Amino acid sequence: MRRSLRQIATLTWFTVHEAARKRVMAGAIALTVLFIGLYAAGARFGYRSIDSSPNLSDLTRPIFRAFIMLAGLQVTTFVGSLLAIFIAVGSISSDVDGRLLDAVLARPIRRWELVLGKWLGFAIMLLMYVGATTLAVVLVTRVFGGYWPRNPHIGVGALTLSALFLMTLAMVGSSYLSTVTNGVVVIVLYAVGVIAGQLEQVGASLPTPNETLRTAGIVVSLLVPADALWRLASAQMSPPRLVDFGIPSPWTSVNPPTLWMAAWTAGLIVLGVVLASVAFSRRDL
Amino acid sequence: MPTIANAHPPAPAHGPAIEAVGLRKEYGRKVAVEDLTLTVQRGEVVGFLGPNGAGKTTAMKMLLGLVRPTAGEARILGQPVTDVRVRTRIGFLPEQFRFHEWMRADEFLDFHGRLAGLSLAERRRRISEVLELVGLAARRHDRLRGFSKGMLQRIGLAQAILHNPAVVFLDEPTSALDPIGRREVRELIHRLRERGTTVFLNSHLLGEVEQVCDRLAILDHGRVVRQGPLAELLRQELEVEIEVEPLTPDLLAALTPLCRSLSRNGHRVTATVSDRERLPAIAGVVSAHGARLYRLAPRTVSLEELFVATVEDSGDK
Repeated sequence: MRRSLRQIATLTWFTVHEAARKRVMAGAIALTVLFIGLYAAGARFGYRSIDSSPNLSDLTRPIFRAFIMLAGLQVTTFVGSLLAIFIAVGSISSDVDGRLLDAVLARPIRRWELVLGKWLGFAIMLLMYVGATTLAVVLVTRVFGGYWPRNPHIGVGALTLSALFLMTLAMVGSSYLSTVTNGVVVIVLYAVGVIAGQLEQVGASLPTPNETLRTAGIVVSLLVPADALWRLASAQMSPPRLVDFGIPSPWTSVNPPTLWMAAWTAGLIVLGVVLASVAFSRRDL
Repeated sequence: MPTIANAHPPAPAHGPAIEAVGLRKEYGRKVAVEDLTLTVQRGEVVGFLGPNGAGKTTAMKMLLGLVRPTAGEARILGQPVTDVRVRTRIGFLPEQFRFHEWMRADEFLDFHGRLAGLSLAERRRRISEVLELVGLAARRHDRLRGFSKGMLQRIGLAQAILHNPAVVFLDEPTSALDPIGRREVRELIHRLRERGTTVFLNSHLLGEVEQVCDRLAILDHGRVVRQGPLAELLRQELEVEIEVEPLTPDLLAALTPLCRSLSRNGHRVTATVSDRERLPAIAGVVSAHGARLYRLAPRTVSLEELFVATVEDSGDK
């Protein structure tokens, strides 16, 4: 047990160290800082014109105020999702193909310990990135627009979970597929998840709800819950009235997912780590 | 010169260092290793030879637990290789040594030291020692990215012996080294042997194998076609020059069953025989045929001749 923990900790440290040394996240962080600067300027002018517009009622004004923050979060979430996929897409396959693991796995280390160690390393990086960027958008919105979301902790948690899910999905793929194939598959799954989520919203908000669209959307959301978690986060961070709004948009949801979706995703992540470990254990080097 | 110290207590001194029974690996329909059965005693330096594509690297990876055998069992120091605990006592230099090149030499060794279970104090001490041993002490703070192939092979060797393993697997350890580097590796292997380390050396440099190995295993078409102590194997194979008058077809026919191979050149015959005891028998046959024996000169064959003969022999079957 102690040996296992020590090996996992060594590999977690190694993974974070490797990413830092190779500046894996440097580009994303630099662009995110630039984006948050732009967002701050946009928020400042956006909130000013919303607050000074005489045409907005007291009913709609808070909705527009929430939209600005949600648009900002949508950008950081998208970057976070891509980052999650890219850091893990070759995590196993490219190391195996590059023969980097021969000497490592001749050491007293089990395959699942390597998978879990790497997973934890990626998770630490994503927690820091998604946590910091989401918090930055929320704080900038507070400073320049005086807007504070309803449940920021649930929002940040759901978005982090979404990134962790995509990273795990990429890791599972990496233990079965080559890096390029895996990258294509995971990006397609992510895109399908988002589009299915939007179609589900359209289906649900028609005057006569379309059950086929809704069911398809729900099934896809259960398999790739990235869009569902975005909707959970956006609903939790919007005023209650916006949640009841009932029109399909990227920032609103008809029947937003509950916290059960977060629990389901956590289950999928655990399953993913197990699957990746099993697949990697069967792989010959 | 730093010494190779004992970081781990010696393992219980019973049972062989390496034991493979019927190891087999199939990739789909292709059989990479048909039947690997061999035993290496503790403290032996064994040369693992075979032509390209004989399955040497796959065989070695099965012994290390990196490739799952289709059938059979591998034991190291009496433990199944799938048991991670035994791997604290194994060192491995892979053939296509590719390491995480973003690391510095000392970081790389520290990482492997940690994985091998060495304490901080042991790592500090051993990293300096092995860097000295492989001649890279001056480069300890350099990134591996800037290393030449030879230097990477040296750091790979350092990694393989870092934790004072009881069994070391070296897959073509000198392929990227110049002649001086090769000699240094030979000296290193000698030193490992003096310390009682078992060395499993996969190499196609027969001269190297002849100089450092006690034992030999030759793999061809995925099976061990010959194994045993090197000196014994070389002694077994004797080349004999026979000069005899008159060399009648009858005499030649009588000599043939005594020899492994036989070729005639005028009244001379060059033959290979399995052991020295055949020599008086040959002399007996010659005199029984009433011929005069002018020369009966045995000569020990080189490892190269033994290797070529073994592989050609197994290829014919």
